[in-house]
Amino acid sequence: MDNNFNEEPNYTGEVVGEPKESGKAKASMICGIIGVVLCVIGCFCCIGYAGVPLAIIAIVMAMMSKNETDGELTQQAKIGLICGIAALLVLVLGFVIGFVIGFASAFTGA
Amino acid sequence: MKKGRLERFLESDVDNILYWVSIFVVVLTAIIYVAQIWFVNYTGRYDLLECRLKTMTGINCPGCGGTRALKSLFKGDIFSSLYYNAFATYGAIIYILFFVTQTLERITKGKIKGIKFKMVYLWIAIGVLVIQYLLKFIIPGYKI
Repeated sequence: MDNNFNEEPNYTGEVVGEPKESGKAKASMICGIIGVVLCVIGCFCCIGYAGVPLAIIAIVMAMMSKNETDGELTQQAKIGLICGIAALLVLVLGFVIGFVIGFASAFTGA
Repeated sequence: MKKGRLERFLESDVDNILYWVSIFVVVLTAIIYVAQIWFVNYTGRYDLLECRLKTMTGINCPGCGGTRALKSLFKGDIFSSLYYNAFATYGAIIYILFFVTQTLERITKGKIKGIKFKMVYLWIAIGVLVIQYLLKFIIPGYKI
């Protein structure tokens, strides 16, 4: 007998199966990955700053997707959250390094 | 209870979320870019627009040539666009196709189907970014 537990009906008559893919979690992951790429470029070039709003949206969407999954982050939301934070860290690090180099060159008169 | 517009938007499918997020990001980036150009013209600090990596080390960054690539693409010169920055060209073409078809889907109320976002588009974009950056080092005389 083909006993498929994933499609067994529960007491309310609903089919218990794979959880529905969250649009927020997937959008968070996509925004996070694009955000990381653009923020790495944004360390050097002006137009890469488009990665900042994407990284912030990725973090917000990942946190909001928790409401759909009883407070737990799905795999996609985790990737979105990590990429969003990494994107912002990369950009902040780029700014700090740029600032230090600028400051040092001002002192040395280079 | 009737759900708010924001709640309905957040519960919609990923393509709808990406469509509106992309419009927000593109408009915001355009406003920042115009403000930046205005600031640079006003103060005369044209060095602020230059790539810091290229200024300090002479090496191109992965985004170098992006603006020229987009300008060439909008003039219809796709080969120059690919030469300057293939990543920017690919990203712009995919985004324009996604945006135009998704807008048409909304205008025609589903008669024309919009392009669905697939993760493979993103992996190809990252591949193009890495390959075009490596080619700029490998091919002798490839100057942008």
